[in-house]
Amino acid sequence: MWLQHGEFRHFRNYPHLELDWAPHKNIFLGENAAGKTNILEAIYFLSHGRSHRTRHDRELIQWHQGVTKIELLGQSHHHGGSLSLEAQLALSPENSLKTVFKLNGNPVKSRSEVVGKIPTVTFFLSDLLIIRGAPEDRRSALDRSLVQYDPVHFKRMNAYNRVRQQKSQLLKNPPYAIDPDVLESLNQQLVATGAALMMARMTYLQQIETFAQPRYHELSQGRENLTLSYQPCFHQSFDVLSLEILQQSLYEAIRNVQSDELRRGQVLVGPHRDDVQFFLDAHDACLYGSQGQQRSIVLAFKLAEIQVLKHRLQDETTILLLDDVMAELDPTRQHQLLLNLDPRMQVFLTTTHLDSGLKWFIDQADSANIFEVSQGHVVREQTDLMSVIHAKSDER
Amino acid sequence: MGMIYTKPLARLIEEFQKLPGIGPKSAQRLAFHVLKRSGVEIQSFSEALLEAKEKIGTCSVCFNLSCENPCEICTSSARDKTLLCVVSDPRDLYALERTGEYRGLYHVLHGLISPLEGIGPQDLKLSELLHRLSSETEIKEIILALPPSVEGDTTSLYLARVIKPLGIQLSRIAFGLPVGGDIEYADALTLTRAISGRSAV
Repeated sequence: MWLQHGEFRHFRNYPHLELDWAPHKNIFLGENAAGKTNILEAIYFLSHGRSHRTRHDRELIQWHQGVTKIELLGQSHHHGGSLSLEAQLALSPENSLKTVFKLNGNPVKSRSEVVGKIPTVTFFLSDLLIIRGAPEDRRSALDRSLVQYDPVHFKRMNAYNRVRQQKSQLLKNPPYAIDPDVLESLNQQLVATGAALMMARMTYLQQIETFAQPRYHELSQGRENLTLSYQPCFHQSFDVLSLEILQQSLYEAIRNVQSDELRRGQVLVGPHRDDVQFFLDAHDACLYGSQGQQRSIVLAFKLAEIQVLKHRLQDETTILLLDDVMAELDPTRQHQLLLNLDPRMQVFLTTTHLDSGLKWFIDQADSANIFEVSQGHVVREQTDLMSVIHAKSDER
Repeated sequence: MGMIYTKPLARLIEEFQKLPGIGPKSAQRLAFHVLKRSGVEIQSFSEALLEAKEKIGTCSVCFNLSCENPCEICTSSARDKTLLCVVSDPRDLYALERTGEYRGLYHVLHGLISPLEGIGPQDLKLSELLHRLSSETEIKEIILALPPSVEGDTTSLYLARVIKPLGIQLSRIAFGLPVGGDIEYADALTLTRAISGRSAV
């Protein structure tokens, strides 16, 4: 899949923006706070059905405006067919927000139906939190990546979260004494939806590990081995994956903390408290890894994501969104990243300046567009800059 | 608004606007429509409104909407009194009645268990259901026709817990593919449910 065209109306800092993209590399060049990330956010929004920066869709609407429209037009690498996706966000006079998604011009019933239609792998600064952040950041990074591989995961998460919210409300603020049968009914559902969620995460993490290990090996020049492990909040990691065993252990764990949960009024056990661990040989990389090792792990994880997703898509390619991460990677790792990308893959990249690594990357591409972004204006650089780059690369 | 419309018209528009799904434009359209109809027609319309409100109540046995008490279904001799179907809303009852297939009795819960909305078992017609099960000893089988949502599932699991000890046969309607639908276009969660709820052929 590659995106040919995007049109945004009253989106973030853009009153109206229409862009034609190159099939391969698209570089957004500009100062901080110019609006580069907003363009990637719009693509992300239609790929994931939500923004990566906010839970509140209304923040996407331009200040003092009531209606926002994001439209993307893509083409399949596999069969050449086109795909159009659209999101329309409208504020009513009563200030309630209505979001409508359209797939090929037809409104869809739920936003879960657009998730993964434009397959993306993201590499944002926030992805470095896979290592440096809290367990919550690791879970959400895993879920976001999994949703692209298996869009049903979106519904899995919604189902679990709804049950968890119901149980949490029951424990927190009972208008009457807690009915043990209601609690038990919710626990049974928590086990059913929770074990399904855990199973999906564990299976996916194993696949990521398979591809991330050789990548990390290359990055560290064979100095150490990377292992990933899913860490349920109530159990040492499971060696054998079986839904029955998961359901049983989760149920037992819930029974064990029942009195604590009732006393504290909180849902204490479930996949909303799980974690992912990264080990370099036997050491916890989140605690003991150096900055460089941690960056290599994130990079290996991202490269593995691309490969795992490629498995699902077969002949289709993913779209890569790189937001300002080049600055975080040293030239060796930059090179590793850029070298490992499928040349057919469409890349959207934001940066504050073009360094030699990026110029090399652009020069390698079969097609590239450079857009200069400043204060809500996006201008496509014409041949000037490209010829400069080419002239430079000829000198090399 | 009162500045433009003459008073009774403004009031009429305002009343229409209180109806669900009716905005200011639709309300104005309906109000102007009312003015165009003959006096007899409007008389009949307003009588229908008042009559419905006055006469329709809930059946004290099954809590369906009815102007009889007990309702027509509960007193019908053509009904199978060994079979009881539990629904959350009277509208679900009408949907089942339209099939013409089900000939048993009903029980309407008027809601589903949902702590987030502050609805617990005591807010539903649940103790009334249990009371029925102990007094109407002919009931041999219960079918739960509750929606496949978190709240529908919670209520079904809850009912299973309180009804099973009574030794009455209990089942829940099947969930899965819509008739005439394609398997390939069904989403994975629906298919999973359809597989786990498969039936022997």
